[in-house]
Amino acid sequence: MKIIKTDELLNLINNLGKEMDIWAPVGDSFERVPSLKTVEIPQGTTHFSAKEIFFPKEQTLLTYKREDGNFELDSVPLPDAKGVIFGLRSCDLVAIAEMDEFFTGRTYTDVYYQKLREGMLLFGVACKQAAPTCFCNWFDPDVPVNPGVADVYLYPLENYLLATSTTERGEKMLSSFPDADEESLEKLERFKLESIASLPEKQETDGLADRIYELFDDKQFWQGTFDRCLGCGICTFVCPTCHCFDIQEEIINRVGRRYRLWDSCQFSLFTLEASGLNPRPTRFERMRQRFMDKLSYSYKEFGKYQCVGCGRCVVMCPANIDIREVIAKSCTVSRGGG
Amino acid sequence: MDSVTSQIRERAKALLSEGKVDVVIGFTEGTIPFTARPVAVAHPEEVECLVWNRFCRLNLASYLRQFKDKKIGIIAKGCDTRSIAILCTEQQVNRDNIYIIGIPCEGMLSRKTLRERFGDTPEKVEIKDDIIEVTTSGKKESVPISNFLDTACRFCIHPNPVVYDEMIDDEVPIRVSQEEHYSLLREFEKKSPDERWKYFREEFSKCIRCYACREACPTCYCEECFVDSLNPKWIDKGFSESDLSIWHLTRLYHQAGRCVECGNCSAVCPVGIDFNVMTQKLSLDALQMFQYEAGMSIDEKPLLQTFKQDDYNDFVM
Repeated sequence: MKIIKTDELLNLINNLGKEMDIWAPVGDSFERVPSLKTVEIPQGTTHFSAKEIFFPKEQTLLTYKREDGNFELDSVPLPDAKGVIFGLRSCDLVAIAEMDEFFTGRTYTDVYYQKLREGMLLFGVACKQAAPTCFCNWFDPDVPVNPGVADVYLYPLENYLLATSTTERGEKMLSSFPDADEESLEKLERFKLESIASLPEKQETDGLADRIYELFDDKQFWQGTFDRCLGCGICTFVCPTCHCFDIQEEIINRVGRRYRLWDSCQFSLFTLEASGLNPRPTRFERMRQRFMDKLSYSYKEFGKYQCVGCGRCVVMCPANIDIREVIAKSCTVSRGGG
Repeated sequence: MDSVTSQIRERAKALLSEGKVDVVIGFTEGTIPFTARPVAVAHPEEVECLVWNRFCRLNLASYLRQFKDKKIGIIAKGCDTRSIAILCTEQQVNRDNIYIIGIPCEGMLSRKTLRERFGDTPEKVEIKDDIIEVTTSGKKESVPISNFLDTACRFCIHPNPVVYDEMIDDEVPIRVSQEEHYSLLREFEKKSPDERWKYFREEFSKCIRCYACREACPTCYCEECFVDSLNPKWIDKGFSESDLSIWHLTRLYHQAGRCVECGNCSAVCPVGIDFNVMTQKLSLDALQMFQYEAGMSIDEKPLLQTFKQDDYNDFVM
């Protein structure tokens, strides 16, 4: 654990900024800024997560030419960007770890994601005080003060910060700073306790994946949520772990482009098959799918919930669909016995 | 409790108990500040959850089609009733199956504007007459409610229900004149073509293609939206200026003579695209060219489904 003063941190990041982009929370989202002016970030999370930096909402995969009925590959434009992302919350870091696993940690490595992700230095900032819509502790009680996959992880104490790192490149950046003294470490412990205490009462998530799985065809359970669902894709687009994409082709004057776009399980085309069959034909199945995927399938398949408790979908849903209620309700509904 | 809320509960309970309706669509308290959430109440004992307040922003007519096979009671503001009328004339819902409880509307508040001012999650929000009291980090602020009126509500000329089976409370006075109603558009029209195009570009470039504008619009109900058609594929779904402009402008044109300017599209947009100038234009064109206002009666045929000898035809060469 290192001690770093506010202006030293600003210098560190702004120096990095000479050779790379600086991203920081600005209003609703993470934006490119010419320089970092403050290490203060608003309570809670931004409306939009940082996923767009690694997983752009539109990304060209390849280009080609079409001549005499033949297709000729023109280019595979691998993205190339270097940046430092400041102000990631711990829930965001959990989400990035899940994205990493999805895009690069299994059988297939997505080079487009990998290139952008590798180019980004992650600066996490521990939460001093959770926002009322935060519920990361439902999935892991230590999340709000957890460094996760951050290159540099910061604990903002009174007028300086403590910094730690979980990667080699992060360690390198911090190597010149002094180690934290006893007094700072005591302060850190108090900071952590206060942070965790600011979170809401933990809802039981042991066995959640099974509970939700069993509720799959319990129409009554889903009805109230479905009644208000408008069927837009906001919840999935603001979610830091939603990573589904669609691949499209575009040909203009014999020059073609294959590109991917964010897709959403809330859209009717998402599961439309070439035969015309749509296994999730109505908004009801699509609304339910998001909860099944976040709270059950992902856990059963990969041992992790695809919800990190950031509360973005809760804040952003125009109809106020609240995933916390779905989780809480699943605890009180009994099946079979009652 | 506010008297409108108690009357809504009373009437919903009676309608459900008497079996006049199977379900009542209304609003209930939200789980986050500045929000009332839509709810469908199916049992008389559940009516206590219904509320009426200045956050009942959404146009509930958007939910009618999903209860098509039921007898529906619906709590409806002026704009909601006009959308219901359109859905009836376009034969999307059957007027006989809908019981409209009209509520004169004093104008709803914009969640977006309130959040910009007070953040997403203040500790306490209270409305006292025309003042909103918001407590953030222990500090209480009192601000006139009019600062936070949704744009569509600010320029609304039909706050009172137009089509209804019964009305709760007295009609509210109309706050703006016909001319004031179009003031955003009038200002916009003064701009040069370049400035206007710049406005369109800037607004559309924010789009993330979540399609909330479409899903929240009561009159966007095509089984297959043109943007989703694969064969033929009308437009690309990327984020280029042309793709985004074609998407939004075409969706808006499809609302010509149908848009009631409820402002749902702007209110639900997560990135703050402001469609109000564009919807005012749709409405003014219908009014000036055809003396038609959308959704003012269920007996009038939809504007674009009728033809009269003396229809406006200056655009014919």
